[in-house]
Amino acid sequence: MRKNGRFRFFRQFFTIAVTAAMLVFLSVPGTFAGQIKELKIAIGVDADTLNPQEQTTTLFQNICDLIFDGMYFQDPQGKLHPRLLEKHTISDDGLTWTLHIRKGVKFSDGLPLNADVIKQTWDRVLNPKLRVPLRFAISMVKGCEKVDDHTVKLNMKYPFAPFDATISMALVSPISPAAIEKYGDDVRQHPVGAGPYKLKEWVKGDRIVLARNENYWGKAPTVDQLTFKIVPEATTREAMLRTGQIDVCYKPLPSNVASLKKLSNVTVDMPLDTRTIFMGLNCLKGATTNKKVRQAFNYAIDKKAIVNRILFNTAQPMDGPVSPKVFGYAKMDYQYDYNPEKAKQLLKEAKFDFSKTINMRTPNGRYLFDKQVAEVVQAQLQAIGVKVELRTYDWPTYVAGLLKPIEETELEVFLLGWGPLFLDADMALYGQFTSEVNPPKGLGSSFYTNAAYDEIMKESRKAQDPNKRFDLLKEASSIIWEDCPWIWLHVEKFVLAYSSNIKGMVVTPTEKFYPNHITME
Amino acid sequence: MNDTAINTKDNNTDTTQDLVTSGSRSWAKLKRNKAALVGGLFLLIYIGCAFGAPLLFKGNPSAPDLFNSLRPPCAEHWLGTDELGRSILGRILYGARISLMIAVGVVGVGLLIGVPVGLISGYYGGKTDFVIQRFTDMFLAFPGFLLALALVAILGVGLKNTVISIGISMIPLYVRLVRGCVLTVREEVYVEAARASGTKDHYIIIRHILPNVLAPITVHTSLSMGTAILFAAGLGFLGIGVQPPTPEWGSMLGSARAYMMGTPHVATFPGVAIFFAVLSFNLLGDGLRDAFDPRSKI
Repeated sequence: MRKNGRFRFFRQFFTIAVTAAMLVFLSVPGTFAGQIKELKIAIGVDADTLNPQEQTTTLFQNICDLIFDGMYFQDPQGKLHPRLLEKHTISDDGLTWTLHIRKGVKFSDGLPLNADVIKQTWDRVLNPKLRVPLRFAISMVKGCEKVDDHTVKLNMKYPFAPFDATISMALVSPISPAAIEKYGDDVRQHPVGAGPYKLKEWVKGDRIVLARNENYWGKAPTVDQLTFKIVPEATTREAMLRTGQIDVCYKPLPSNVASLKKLSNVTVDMPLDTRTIFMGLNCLKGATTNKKVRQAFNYAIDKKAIVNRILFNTAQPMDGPVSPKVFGYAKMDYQYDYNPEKAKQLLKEAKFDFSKTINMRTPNGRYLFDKQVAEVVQAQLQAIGVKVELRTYDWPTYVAGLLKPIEETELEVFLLGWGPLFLDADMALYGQFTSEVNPPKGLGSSFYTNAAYDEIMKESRKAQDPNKRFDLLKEASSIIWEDCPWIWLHVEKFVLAYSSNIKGMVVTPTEKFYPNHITME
Repeated sequence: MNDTAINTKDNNTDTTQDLVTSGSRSWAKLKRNKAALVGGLFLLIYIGCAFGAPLLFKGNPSAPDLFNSLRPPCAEHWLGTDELGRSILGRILYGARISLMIAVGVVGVGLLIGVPVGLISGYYGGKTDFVIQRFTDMFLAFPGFLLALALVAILGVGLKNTVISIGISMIPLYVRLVRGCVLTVREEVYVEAARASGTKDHYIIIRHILPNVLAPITVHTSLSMGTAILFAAGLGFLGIGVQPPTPEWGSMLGSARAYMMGTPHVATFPGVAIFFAVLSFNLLGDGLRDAFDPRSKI
């Protein structure tokens, strides 16, 4: 009898305890089934700034997107989704863009996002006194005017058809005016935006922690906290993923991708990137001014072997002058397949001076196995009788060399990468090959100059009809493909490895990933 | 006057004889030092590889063969192939030449500049010594590798600049070492006698002082060669030393880092080569130091 009484007491106590625990669990705000407390992401470097207007590195533009949200979001297929903007309208002449701002949006500090804030953002981006390294991307905007509380008007210097994709960049994401007032330039250390997350903690050289923004206007993220852990060595990042210390490994080494793919607890996503890697050939000075020489160099390089053997298939040989991921890409009718005999023949026809040594330069460690790729190109050019001397440079010195005008430039053959920041061919075809972007004005370091080409590209910017625009971009691509201002090498892939129990990770061709709505099994 | 001159000459002959005797005593000590002998043996193998590279390895060590990349050691490629399909054995053998060239070049720069400056500083003393030593202090304030790194940044990359940069970073050590030795030697009676007899300074420095500071210079040179190889490998590893496709051990190691997980042999063999080359110079240097030290009894 006494035994039964004790049993009953324990049963009642257990029932009450479980019920109380469940009530406590359910009463915690925002904590519900499927909610993930923390996602640990290992990245290679720390951020210099988290001011979206100042940021040039894709990884930190990615973090800015999470803190600030964009005007639009361009999905991996290139489709634009409204975010801080609901829609836009364009005048017939293409010189006025009217932006309709989403109503009811608040910054994480509670301030409302309205037309005044958007105007202030454009004024800041266009203000030459402020440091905005990517200002060239919106250089077609003359100014911004407020129409009403939720509408602004942008006046353009010239029509620019892919402008809607352009404003999906973090470059024009609004910062809370209160934060700007409070911190001034130092807002780069204290970012306050209207995105799904807000900055919780930033320990320099160690971690950046983002917490869910309770004021977010959109669908609440499924992950409460994103911890970006700074781990410079890629092999260490990989080891941490293998052992479960982190959930996401940013850019593992291509040489280890195959072994990571074999692991049952790891998923490797590697969408094709927008970034093309090429060997620029100086079209105005030196040994590569002759088109036949440039074509010969293209035939001399075994791009497929480079992709297979050096890059472990984390890239794809170029078959057109832009990445297949961007609007305006078209596979070219003929390819420069590896053909050393044809290359020799073309050099002969061009009366190439084999006694001269060509200078080749490459950065070391900026792009995937850049030095190794350059070494192969050097060896394969030497195999057709061309004398080549290769030099490696650190990145700042290298970039300084790219910006010198034709009178001063020492560039002959140089390895470089070019990755459009949104999925459109304009940034590559206009930003690299029109005479307008020849250094020092731009980064078209091949000094390609062709008036007919310039005309087509200008026409393409005016064309509002996507079909017409596509045809123009294709025509421009064909011209450039034949003229070979580059040795067309490969299109990189963006490699992201993460725990296989993560589902729903959005990985884009612009080297960004969004874990906002993932689920974990 | 004449007597003094004769006496000085006798003294000089005695010094030479002393040197010969102490030289043979040191050689006997060195022969008994097993570690130094092993170091010497490694060094002979290393020099043999450097000079015999074209005989030991047929083919071009810099020519890529992409379809044979990252192969493990096999009958065809004894130490396997690197990421571009080049024989690691071939590159290590030819790399020995580059390393030896750098080591000799670097100590050459150090010796040619450091020793005369150290001799002058120690012999003349006074203001000359003060000025030279403050400059030396300035250079010594930087860690050697950091100084070499800064100099490469100023001079630019490449084999020649690597040698010059590391060489310059070695100069202050030679200056300080030689000066210290000279300070002792210049007070010796035979130097005083030579000076009293009116012998010119440069003659005294070359004939009386230099031979007596040669032992520490030899030891330091041997140890410096090891350091030079290590510094050059460090610069190569960082990608700012000898330029590709030249087979340099440090840059081989630097490139191989990315393949450590799947194909560790690519990084292992250049690492082993650097290890043994540096070890050989260090063991020999230690042995020489013991051999030249009159207090050591081996």
